[in-house]
Amino acid sequence: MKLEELQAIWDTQNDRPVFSLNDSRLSVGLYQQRAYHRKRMFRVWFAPMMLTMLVLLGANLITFLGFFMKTITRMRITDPQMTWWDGAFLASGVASALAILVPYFKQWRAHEKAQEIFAPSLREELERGITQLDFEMRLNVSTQARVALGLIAVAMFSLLFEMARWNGLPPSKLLRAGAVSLVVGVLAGFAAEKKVVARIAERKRALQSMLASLDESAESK
Amino acid sequence: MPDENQRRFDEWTRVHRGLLFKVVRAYAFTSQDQDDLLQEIAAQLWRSVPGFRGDAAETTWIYRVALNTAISWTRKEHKHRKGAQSIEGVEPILQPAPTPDLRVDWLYAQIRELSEVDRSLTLLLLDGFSYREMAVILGITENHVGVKVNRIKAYLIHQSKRDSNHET
Repeated sequence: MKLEELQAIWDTQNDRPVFSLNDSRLSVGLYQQRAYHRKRMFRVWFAPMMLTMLVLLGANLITFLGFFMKTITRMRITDPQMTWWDGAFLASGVASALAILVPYFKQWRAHEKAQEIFAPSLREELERGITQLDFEMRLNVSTQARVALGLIAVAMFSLLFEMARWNGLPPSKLLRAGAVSLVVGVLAGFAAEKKVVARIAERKRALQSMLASLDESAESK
Repeated sequence: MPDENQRRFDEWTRVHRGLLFKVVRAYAFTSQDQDDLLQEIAAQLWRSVPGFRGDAAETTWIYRVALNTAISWTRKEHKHRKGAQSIEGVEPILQPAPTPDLRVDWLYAQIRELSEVDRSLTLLLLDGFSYREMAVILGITENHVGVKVNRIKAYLIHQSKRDSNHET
């Protein structure tokens, strides 16, 4: 059979398509799928980090205001008094939370925007896929991720220390509890990080091998 | 402008429906996967509408979106299966033609044996696209397209001869 004959067979589909389409089901499916992809990305990457930072930010601010009000009203002689050092410590906690929250929010917005853009060729689609995986990897293992852990520690310790001071408790108890939970959290984070990185690396290899097959020179064939 | 985008999307999915079916049939093999891929392609097509400036023919643009999406989808197919919800009892989006053409089925069976990129080239070849258009759609050089297309032609002709010999 010649190619022209195969094309003629192929063209019969123009008059008799291989499928018929259920339009109303398609509309529902489209809506569900779009919602699923967008929600998943937000839920897995950005929401936990931004929520944690918002809570720490709010708690540091409330502690600052509460302690400050207690200092200026001074109802009892035994009430603890806020010093410049307390103020500076809480301010560093607020700044740490903001230093994570703002860049993560910006990254999330940029990511959402990038996802909307259509790649005009297979090559660009693959390259964009690899860039996307690099982005996911960076969220897990980059300097930014490690700095974020440090900033979380600062925000949490300033909060615990000042809450203890505000309530007239010995700060060491709360700090010890905070340190234990932080160490456990960091260790769990590192354990999860290895798995995530291995999974991303596997997906990246698949994309790279496909890109390499596109790059095969015609001469090598 | 959103109305204009909606109008164009509706027109594309109505007029070029057959083109989307071809891509879906070439890349997805079960009813559930075919529905899934069609939705993915339609979603990407909707996103691509604002970027269409009319520099390329509509069919070229739609093929580009559909093929790139199908190849990406094939890559992620196992994940779709893991996260897939049971849809037993739900009517599928795509319903196969009541009287299938066995020759067309044979062609799809041959296409299925090819690699993902070669499947794209075969669809474009059978639909009469030029090497230049294929190169633009897939982002590879015309020379590379030429080499691959020659191999695909030889493969299809060889398969047709082999199967017609078996029949006789």
